[in-house]
Amino acid sequence: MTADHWLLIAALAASTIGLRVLGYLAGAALMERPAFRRLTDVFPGCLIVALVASALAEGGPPELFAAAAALLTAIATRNIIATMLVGMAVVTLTTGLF
Amino acid sequence: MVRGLIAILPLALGVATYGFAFGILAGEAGFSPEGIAAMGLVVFAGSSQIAAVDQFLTTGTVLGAALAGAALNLRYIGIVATTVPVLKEVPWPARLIAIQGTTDENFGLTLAARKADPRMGGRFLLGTALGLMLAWITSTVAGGIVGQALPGLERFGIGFAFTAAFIAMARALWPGRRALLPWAVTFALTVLLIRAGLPSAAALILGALAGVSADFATNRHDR
Repeated sequence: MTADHWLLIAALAASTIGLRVLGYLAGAALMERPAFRRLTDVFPGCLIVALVASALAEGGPPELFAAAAALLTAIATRNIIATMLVGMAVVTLTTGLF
Repeated sequence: MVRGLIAILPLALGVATYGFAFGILAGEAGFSPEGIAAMGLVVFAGSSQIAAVDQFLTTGTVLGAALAGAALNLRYIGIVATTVPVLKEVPWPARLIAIQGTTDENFGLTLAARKADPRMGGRFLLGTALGLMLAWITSTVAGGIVGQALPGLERFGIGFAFTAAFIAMARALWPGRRALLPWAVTFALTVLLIRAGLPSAAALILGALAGVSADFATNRHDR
């Protein structure tokens, strides 16, 4: 592990602990503001979508097929493990085809 | 507390399964078992750890990875705020552990248990938090050890596992049709920015901000 690995852990810890304690101390007051509530509601979903988009922008056809299969699995099962397994299986099987 | 610990067991098993998968990937990203254990304890936020390690693995930069992880943690403000009345039932040192141990999985369970039986409160939440922490830390460390012992797991599509996990998380977060436009804007802009050569960490944040702006521009703040 490099110093960067530990730095990342420290930065993540500071942000999670900070946001949790902020939620304890001031969460109720902040959540009364509709715009803030909206932000905490919408931003995480958009960021997850952005993470999927960035992976697909840098991937090829196997990743696109696997993403489609994973999406169908997620809709059908709502199960994170099943979605991961199907995605990994499809990307492995289709990589040889392209 | 014991009742909370028992009640969380089925969810803890599910958490341990993807904790194991995350551990493998974190091991591949160069995190040692000690580092994975430390991260599980002091961060203890599954989706945030996954997003950050994914970004660290693909971009190698700390700042982008930390920002992606932090942005996902915004929702903890609301989650912890909801549990404040329950948290106040336990003394301070235990309360800090319960605050750190409150996640998507156990806050809903605790509030539901309290509705059924008003005696279920802070101690119940603390039990669920301890159960989840134990499951998360042991499973991620076990995954990390396997990831280090078996290098080259990329051959089995393990690199795509993160993307698939994000797809499953998106499905879980889907709030209905009002998210269609913000999510479409986010997706399209993120892809365009990356294709245009922007570093992916910057593209992620700008794409997500554009999605939030689209939401603010089109949906009334009436909730």
